[in-house]
Amino acid sequence: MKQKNLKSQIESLLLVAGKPISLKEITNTIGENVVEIQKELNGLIEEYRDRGFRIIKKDEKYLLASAQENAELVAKFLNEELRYELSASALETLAIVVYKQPITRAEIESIRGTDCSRVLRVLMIRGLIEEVGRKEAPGRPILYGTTVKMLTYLGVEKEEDLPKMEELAV
Amino acid sequence: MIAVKDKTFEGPLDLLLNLIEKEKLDICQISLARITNDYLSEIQKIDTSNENLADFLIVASKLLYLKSRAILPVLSTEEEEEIEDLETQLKEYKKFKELSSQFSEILDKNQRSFEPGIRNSDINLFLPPLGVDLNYLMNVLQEALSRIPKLEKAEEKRVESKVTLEETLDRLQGLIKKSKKFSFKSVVKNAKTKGEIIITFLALLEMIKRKMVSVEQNKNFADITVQGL
Repeated sequence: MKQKNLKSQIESLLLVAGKPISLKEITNTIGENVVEIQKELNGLIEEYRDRGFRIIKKDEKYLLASAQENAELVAKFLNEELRYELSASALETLAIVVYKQPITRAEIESIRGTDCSRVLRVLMIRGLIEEVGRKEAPGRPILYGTTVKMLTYLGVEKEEDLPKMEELAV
Repeated sequence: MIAVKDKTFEGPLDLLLNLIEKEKLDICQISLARITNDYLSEIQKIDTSNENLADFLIVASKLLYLKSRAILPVLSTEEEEEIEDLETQLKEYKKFKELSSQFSEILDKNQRSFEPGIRNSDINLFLPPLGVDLNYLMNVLQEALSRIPKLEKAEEKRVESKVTLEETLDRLQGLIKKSKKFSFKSVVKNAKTKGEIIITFLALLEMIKRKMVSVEQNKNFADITVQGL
């Protein structure tokens, strides 16, 4: 009985949060063992696979969102664009941030061999990347990382579902 | 020559990768040296107002260095490391280029999750902090404007017109076509600056390299007779 209760509690929190919430926040609020909560969360993730919900996970943060396969329908209902155009350079830069995060602008530029300030700004405005801290280096440059929104935008549940870097033939 | 006129490149590495892949070469120093000429002719087409032009030029200089080293293997300087970097950098770049095309395949599937809650959340609304009104903003603006240093008129200076290598080359080629033969002294006799003489000499060297002319000089510092081939 208690088990079922816990699951429904987690579900309610995810529903009303409307933004990514951390495992810690859930645990502290419910006041239950973190291992139990994690187990129930994983159970929910599985259950939702055939439903209209999806749980998007990034760095121990969870977001309840709509199912990827209903994208067109949901976009139509919300009267929102399903896709906004991302330029090739924006996509390239995003890929670098995904696999190299946290990363500074200078590091991205040394990979791309060209200026990236404008593309980074576009990605920031779109909420696909964010500042995640400062590098302990001269000038303390900003470090960039990806967001949960990047995952919802690409339509994947977690970072592990993205193409793997080492699978590429070099 | 490769026709890429209508394609815009994301950067110098993008262009480089494209050239190497068109020639079906592997990424290594030898192939980098081989495509140097193609690269140079591609960047000729770049609009000089392109703000990333400098990035393209940096890579161009690295390529030229690489090529000159392929010709003169004894040449070895401290830039070595940086040049090796170009190869690694390109390999690394290629990985991300491929990843980004995989990303674009993912995007083409049109799968996307939508978060609940406020819509149009992509747009960040700007709200002024409390206590900020029109007057306050006006004051801040005026203060900021007063801090701007007054524009000083820069001193006008004429830039001397310079003769380019290309122009000189064209001129000498015209001469060869017309008279088959000319003396070096005669072509530089109207030169206004030392620089012009040097440019003419460089142009002559270039013509020799391209096997367009043969030259003859009887002794040191004597006049040079240039003959078309």
